[in-house]
Amino acid sequence: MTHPSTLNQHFANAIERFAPERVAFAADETPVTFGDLSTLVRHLESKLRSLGVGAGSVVGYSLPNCAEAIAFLPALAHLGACAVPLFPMIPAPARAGIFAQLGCSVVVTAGPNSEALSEAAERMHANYRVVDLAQLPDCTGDTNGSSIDVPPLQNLLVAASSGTTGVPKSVWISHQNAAAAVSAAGDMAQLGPWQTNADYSSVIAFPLSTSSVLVVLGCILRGVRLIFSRDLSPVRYLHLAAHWNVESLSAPPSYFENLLALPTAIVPPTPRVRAVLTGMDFLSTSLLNRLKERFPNLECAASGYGLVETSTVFMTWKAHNREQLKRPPNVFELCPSVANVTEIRDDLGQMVPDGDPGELCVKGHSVVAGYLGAQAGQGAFNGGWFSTGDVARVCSSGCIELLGRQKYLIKRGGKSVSPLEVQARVESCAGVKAAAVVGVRQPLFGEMIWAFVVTDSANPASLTDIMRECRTNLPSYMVPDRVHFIAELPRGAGVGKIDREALIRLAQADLEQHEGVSRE
Amino acid sequence: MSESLDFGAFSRRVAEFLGKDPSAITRPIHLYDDLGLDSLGMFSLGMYVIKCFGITLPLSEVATIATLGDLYDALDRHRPTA
Repeated sequence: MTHPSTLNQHFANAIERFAPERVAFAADETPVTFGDLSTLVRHLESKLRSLGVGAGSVVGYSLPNCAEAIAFLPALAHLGACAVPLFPMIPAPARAGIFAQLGCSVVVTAGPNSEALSEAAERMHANYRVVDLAQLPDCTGDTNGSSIDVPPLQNLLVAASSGTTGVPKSVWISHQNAAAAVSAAGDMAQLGPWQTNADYSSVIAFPLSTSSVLVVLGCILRGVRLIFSRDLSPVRYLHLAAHWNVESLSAPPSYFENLLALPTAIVPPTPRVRAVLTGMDFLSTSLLNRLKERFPNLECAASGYGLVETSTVFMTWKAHNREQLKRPPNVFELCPSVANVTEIRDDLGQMVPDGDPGELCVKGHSVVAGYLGAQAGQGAFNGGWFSTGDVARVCSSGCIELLGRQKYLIKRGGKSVSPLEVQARVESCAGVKAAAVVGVRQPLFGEMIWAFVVTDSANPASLTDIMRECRTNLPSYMVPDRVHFIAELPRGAGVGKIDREALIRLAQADLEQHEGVSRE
Repeated sequence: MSESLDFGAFSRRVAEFLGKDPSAITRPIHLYDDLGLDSLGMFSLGMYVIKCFGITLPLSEVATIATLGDLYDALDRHRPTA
């Protein structure tokens, strides 16, 4: 089966496949049909064309969640232009600088942050024109919607990554990369035949002016009606879920944690929820179990794995029924539509035997060519292969079990320990709400396994419970050396990943204070 | 003369760390041979009970500890005096 090699092909296929009156997505309570979407894209194309945007133009945009934020990328793709989407919450001076650095000729903005961006651009004498979405010129002339023929390797949008080294870097995502990501996202969203129903909806919590709009488009163009809001609050999210009577919820894991922390009394019931979709961070067994408790009809789930360097998702973990929900959520399969391949390699770049841990490397249509310019980290790209910095191993089933970031692998007593494996065991203990495991260096004896634990307030696990669970079910070298009870796990900005560096600092401070050994 | 470190309190803390019942904690238990602790595991156990009782041990003594009895005795020798 030939999969689309450009975003334009994906879009054209969806417009042809779905009836114009079918709802494609909804902005809050306002439905947008495929017919509306097609018209909106054509009008945006015409407006942008009147601003001089054409093949090769670089156009920035910084929009709040709105219908145009969905339509903007297809419109630019049709014109053969390149997109630089930046989330409006990024400080205006930073955005103004990035738009300039990437050679934007036009930047489209909207919402309350527009003025600040205009002022920041003016202060730095930026060469681009800042235009408010509401003030785009009325469309005139050609609106027949035909897109130019773009070669698959032509750049489509830029995305920012923290990179494998943790230093922010940017990549260009080509049409081919984007098409692969859109295909993969469509694969991820397929959980059962009941989804062919035109009313199947999923509410999402996501800023759309980022490269992850590819995942959003992947779902929409596969017929999943996505519901989003300008307001990203969990309360608004659940109200929309009830309004649209959705069957599915989509959000990063940390957002689900915020949802679960809401008192049930203040949010409307959502009895039809039977599936959750997530990504951008590891889904823990603990979170999945708590989602099952809150949404009793939950029977399906999917978690996507990918990086900016792979144009977002290319592997998924899926559960198609209640029994499969018990499967460890760190075991992934390649999305069938993507045509990527993976290898697990050792420090010398050699493939390791199945079952042995090593670095996950990936090659294929969704892998970008490299970082922009002469940025550090280009060594992660080699001969079409990208070294992800994640540790994994091939399971007996042929699936890929993710073991965590390479830099967070714990070297204890000559053995490598996956913090995710230890974390999963700790979280399986009754009375543990969440856990995070890090390695902490002790000068004399090596790296210690330090488990931070948040207990269930109603029925908290004790140290004895946790250590008994670990000593019974883990090899001795993987048992935590220290269990540190904490009220809440620290999380970073953005999607709210656990801040492991903060945990390591906390552990080191505790170690120095309570080591209890004097150097006599 | 201050009282000795309470062995019952000591054994409860050791039991917590090992995930065992306190009745299973006895002096002759060997940290390496019976509990399977490596040097870092022994250090971690020591750090836990030291923190619980507010005691500091000289590094030179830590190296001589082989059994739970040795650990108890070392802690008792260096317990804070009234």
